[in-house]
Amino acid sequence: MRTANIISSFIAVGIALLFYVMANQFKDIPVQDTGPAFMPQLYAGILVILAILLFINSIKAKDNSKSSSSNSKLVFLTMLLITLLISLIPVLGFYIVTPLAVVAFLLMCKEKNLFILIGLPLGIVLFIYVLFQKLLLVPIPLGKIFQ
Amino acid sequence: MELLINGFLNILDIKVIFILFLAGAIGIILGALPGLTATMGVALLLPVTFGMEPVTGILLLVGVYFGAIYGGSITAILLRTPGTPSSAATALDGYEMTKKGQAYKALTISTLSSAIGGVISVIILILVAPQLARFALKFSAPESFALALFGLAIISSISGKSLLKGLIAGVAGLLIATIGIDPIGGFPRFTLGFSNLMSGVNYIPVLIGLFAASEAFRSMEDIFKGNLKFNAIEKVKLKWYEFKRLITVILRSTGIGTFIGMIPGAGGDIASFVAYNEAKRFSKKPDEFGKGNPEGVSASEAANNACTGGAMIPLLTLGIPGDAVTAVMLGALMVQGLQPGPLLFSNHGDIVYTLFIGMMLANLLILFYGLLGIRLFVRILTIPKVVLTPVILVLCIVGSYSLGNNFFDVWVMLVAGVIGYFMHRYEFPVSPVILALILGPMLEANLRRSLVLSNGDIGILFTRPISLTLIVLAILTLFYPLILKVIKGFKGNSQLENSGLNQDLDEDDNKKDTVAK
Repeated sequence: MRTANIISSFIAVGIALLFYVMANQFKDIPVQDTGPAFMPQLYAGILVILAILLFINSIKAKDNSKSSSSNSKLVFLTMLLITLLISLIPVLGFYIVTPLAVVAFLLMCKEKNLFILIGLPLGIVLFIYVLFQKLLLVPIPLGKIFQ
Repeated sequence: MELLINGFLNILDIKVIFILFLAGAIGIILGALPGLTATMGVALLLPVTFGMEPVTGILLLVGVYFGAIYGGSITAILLRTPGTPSSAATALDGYEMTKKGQAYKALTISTLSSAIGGVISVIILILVAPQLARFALKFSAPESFALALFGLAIISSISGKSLLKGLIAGVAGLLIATIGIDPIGGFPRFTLGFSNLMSGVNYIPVLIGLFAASEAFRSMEDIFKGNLKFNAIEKVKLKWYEFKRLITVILRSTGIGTFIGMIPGAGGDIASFVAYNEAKRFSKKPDEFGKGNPEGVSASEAANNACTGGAMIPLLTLGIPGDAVTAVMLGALMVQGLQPGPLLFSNHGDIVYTLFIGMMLANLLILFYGLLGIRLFVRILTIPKVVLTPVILVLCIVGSYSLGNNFFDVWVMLVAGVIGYFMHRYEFPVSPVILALILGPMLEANLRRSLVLSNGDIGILFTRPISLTLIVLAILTLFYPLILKVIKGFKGNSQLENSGLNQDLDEDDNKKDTVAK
């Protein structure tokens, strides 16, 4: 946790500096001494101070964390799958990509029950179609190919 | 009184009761689904009311509104997926109770607190609405700034193990809240050329990502470990003595919820966090908050449902909508030929009091649906995580998309989900980010508006009684954990000194005894 906290404090300083520098480039439209950069720069300043405090605390603290990286593989694969799903929906449409992604997910989790492998993707799609598209009139994307 | 009795008799119409039952069910379902907010539900059903009689039409919307606010708590408790932003605070302790196998009890507490909070807020609406509305009108820019600051100070209560990390998360959230058009000068900030960012980062996809998607990612770790189901659901019922302990929390939170609800610009999300904070402050076991304390669930739920009655106060008495839902309601009332404002009570007293009774019934229906449905709701937890996780993730995507029918919100949800996963892993609390995103725009706009009002004199914030009180409360709330530590340290030292003194005295006595001998 100690290393993670030190890295986090650097990330926080990085974010604060980024916002500060970007805010510096804003056009100066002062309204009673507070232009558009006033609050972002104030927050960025506070964030830097807090990040430095975290850094100092982390340096002083003993590292008593346990590593848990072994479980992360499946998490990262899921994140990747969701990214792929969101990227492909506008092109191929929700009703084609989603069942495929759900099947891929189930296979990734080593699910072998055929009822779940077929029933779950179809059930999800049917639920979304009835509730969101038909009842709530949400225009579920059909993809560029099928439009 | 006569008007109330007439209102009660009007409600006994089978058509009205049927509409209320239907609206309650629709509201609960919509509220439970991430991304589908109470505002969306009310807006979707608004056109349906045009052909209805005024009372029936308005009560349909009221039923959906009240039901949705309650419905949000169901998934917040069971899956750490707040259906509505108002239930974000409920997830903090509700989900922890579920992890302990106490989902049944958590849902019972949520149902009872929601119904009681809602009913009392309607009673307050009936009794003192005009007086309260006049008080709410005193909330100008400095008071709203102070309220936002007070809301942000709650970060100290919801930071979990580390206040410093909570503050970092909160300030990062405040920075994100500055993205979009500058509220005073109209200058686009940090938009990077994306037109979607002009109106800022919508906090609902962030909420869905930080709570629901990140939890789905975390459940992958459990699947990897072979932990495929939630803890066994113990059918632990809420005992009478446990409920008695919660009554004070419910009443206090109801007061907070009603008060915040009537302030324009502040809604159930702020009310539930404020009530949560106060419940923790007054609790005998503040350390148990965030670890599955029933008081946390009770406070948040009583406050957000009480907020519904509170939001009706300025709407009906002054014609001022306090939030987005009541703005839609205002439209519905006007379509029905009812002009909200002081004259509404004298010109259409019969309709107004029928609405009041209907609102009370809508809150009692929460009790009916909630207590009846708990057995059904908790069955969600019997579904294996392998099945539940993809369902949650797909709902996160569709829910975020349906907010504005664009994919930008879906990407925001995903990024928030990934960040939320890492935040949890490295023990950064996610709730301060949400709180900051909700309150950031309110804080900035009202601070700068106050400075414009006072020609740049910051003293305006400290010379108005309500504003000053809230600022003092904010400072006390923020530094409460530190103050508590100092007091405990002081007490510890004095006890140590006393015990040391006693030891010295004992030694002296012993010496005297020895000398005497």
